[in-house]
Amino acid sequence: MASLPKRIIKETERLITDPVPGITAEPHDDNLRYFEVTVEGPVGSPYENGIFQLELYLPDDYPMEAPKVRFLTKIYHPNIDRLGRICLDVLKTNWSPALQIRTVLLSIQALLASPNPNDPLANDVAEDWIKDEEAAKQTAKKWSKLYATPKQ
Amino acid sequence: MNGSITDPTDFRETELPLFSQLDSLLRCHICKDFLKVPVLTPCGHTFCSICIREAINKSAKCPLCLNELRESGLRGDFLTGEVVNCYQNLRQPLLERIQKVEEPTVAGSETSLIEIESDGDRERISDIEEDFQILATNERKRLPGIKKITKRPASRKGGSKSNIESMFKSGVEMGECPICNEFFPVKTIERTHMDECLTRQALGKPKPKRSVKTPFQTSNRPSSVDSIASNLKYGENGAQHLKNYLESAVNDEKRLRLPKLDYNTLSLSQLKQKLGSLGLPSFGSKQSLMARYNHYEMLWNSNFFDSSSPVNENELKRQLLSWEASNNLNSNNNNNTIGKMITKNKDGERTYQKLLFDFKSDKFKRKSWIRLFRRMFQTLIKEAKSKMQDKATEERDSDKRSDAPVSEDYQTLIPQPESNVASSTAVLALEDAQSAVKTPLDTETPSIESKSGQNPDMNIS
Repeated sequence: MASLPKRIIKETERLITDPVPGITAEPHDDNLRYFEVTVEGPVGSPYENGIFQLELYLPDDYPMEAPKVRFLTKIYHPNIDRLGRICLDVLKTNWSPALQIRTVLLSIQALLASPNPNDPLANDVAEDWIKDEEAAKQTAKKWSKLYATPKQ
Repeated sequence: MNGSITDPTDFRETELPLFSQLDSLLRCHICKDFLKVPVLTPCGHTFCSICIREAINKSAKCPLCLNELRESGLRGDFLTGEVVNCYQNLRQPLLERIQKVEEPTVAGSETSLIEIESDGDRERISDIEEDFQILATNERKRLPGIKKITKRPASRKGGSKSNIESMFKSGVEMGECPICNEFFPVKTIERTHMDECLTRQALGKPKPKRSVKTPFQTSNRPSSVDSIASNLKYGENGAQHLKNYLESAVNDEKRLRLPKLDYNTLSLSQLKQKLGSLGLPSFGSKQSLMARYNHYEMLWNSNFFDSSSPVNENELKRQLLSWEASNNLNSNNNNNTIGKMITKNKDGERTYQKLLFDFKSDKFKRKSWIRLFRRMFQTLIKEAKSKMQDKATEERDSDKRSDAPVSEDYQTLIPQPESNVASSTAVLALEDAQSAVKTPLDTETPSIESKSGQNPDMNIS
């Protein structure tokens, strides 16, 4: 494996000492390129009060290549499919090496606050969303309660 | 290594938290470290030369504004470069000074020494040269006309001593050499330096200090630059950065830009020849040759066109080597991860490489492939079996199933290279196999528990 670049060490340090509100990211003990991430559902969205688990992996080419991020918690969202894959421009074509882990996670949190059913990844969810937004939001709320509520 | 990692937030707890902004402004947005040989893009953004060149190789956009960007549009930004160098030297003493009183002062001169040493090769080289000039003392000659100045007290730089400064205890008299206008301790000038300078002048050689080769070529040293430079009397350290900057206007040598190569039209032997003519090693696959050339081209152009104080070719080659070593270029990087997963011992690795080599041809030995991956197949099969059995027990009540269809399914789990020729890489074949195992799982929700098995990419270290 290529050695761990200074930039990753810096980012990790900063994520831990100066975390983004509502987001945690911790590197795995065995692989410092693998992060366990939690994102709180944004206030005012159907995902409010939910805590979503994600995994984030920094490929060898990072920061020239975007990190790979995936939801581990089941979520009802038009831009996130059943496997947890995320349709987000900054993770694909609009990735720039000037971005970093915290900005990516913030974008994901923003995506939860404003779903975009016109550019869907989960087609069935997007259809529901367009047909009856209120009902879809209710479902999203229900799923958040069911799957994204931390176990006591 | 950890000691040299600095962050703008270091200033947050000080009396002047605003410095954290200056600190972050002087950093590259790609590597998040201080700008090293900064270049300016046409859209007005500044990055490290190497960082932006690497980024452009991936996608021709400015990382900050996403505007289109070509390598030819980059311009070296000498002023910013020296500002950053200057700031880096100032940073630690500054930090110590404005630290709030209640906080205990953190490791004084020791840290600053480490930091300055890690600043870059150029600085280390110039240190060594200075050392050399101070230590080499043999003859004694009193020469008239040496302007004497007393070095300013160290407190001007903010309390702690840098390594250069600490070499001269305060009170050492500094003098300017009348020939090359450099500052040295008077004794050094008297003993050795003047002789060296005179000999050099007699032989018509350029100053040995640094070889400056940048695209702005001027045949004669501009007199304005000369007079400004010689009027600087701040001691060896105070004027160094300004001098470095001014000297970027004075270049004696011009290098040719290394071109980008069109690898599609180049044969392997032509490529090898090209590398050979540059004095680079020419072993390895075409892919690693290409990567080697690309990286060298980047180092070369960045060094000779963006840097105000370029290093020589040998140093570039050393950098290339260490890059190759850290990027594991020679061992088939893409396929290697999987090879490591399966084969811990060398023999296995070799068989794997050999098999991989024949993967597309009809020489491919399917049996040894299966033998090599047996353990992995077995665990996959076991996994699949247990899941199948779970399902089977559910269905057994309604339908008494025989084992036959189940075992047929196992056959499909073994990755069959022949059927995967199109995808051609072992990685894909294996992923196929794994996803085949996971199909029953995927219909359920991807839960946290399934994390470790789900995505093979995620766990490869």
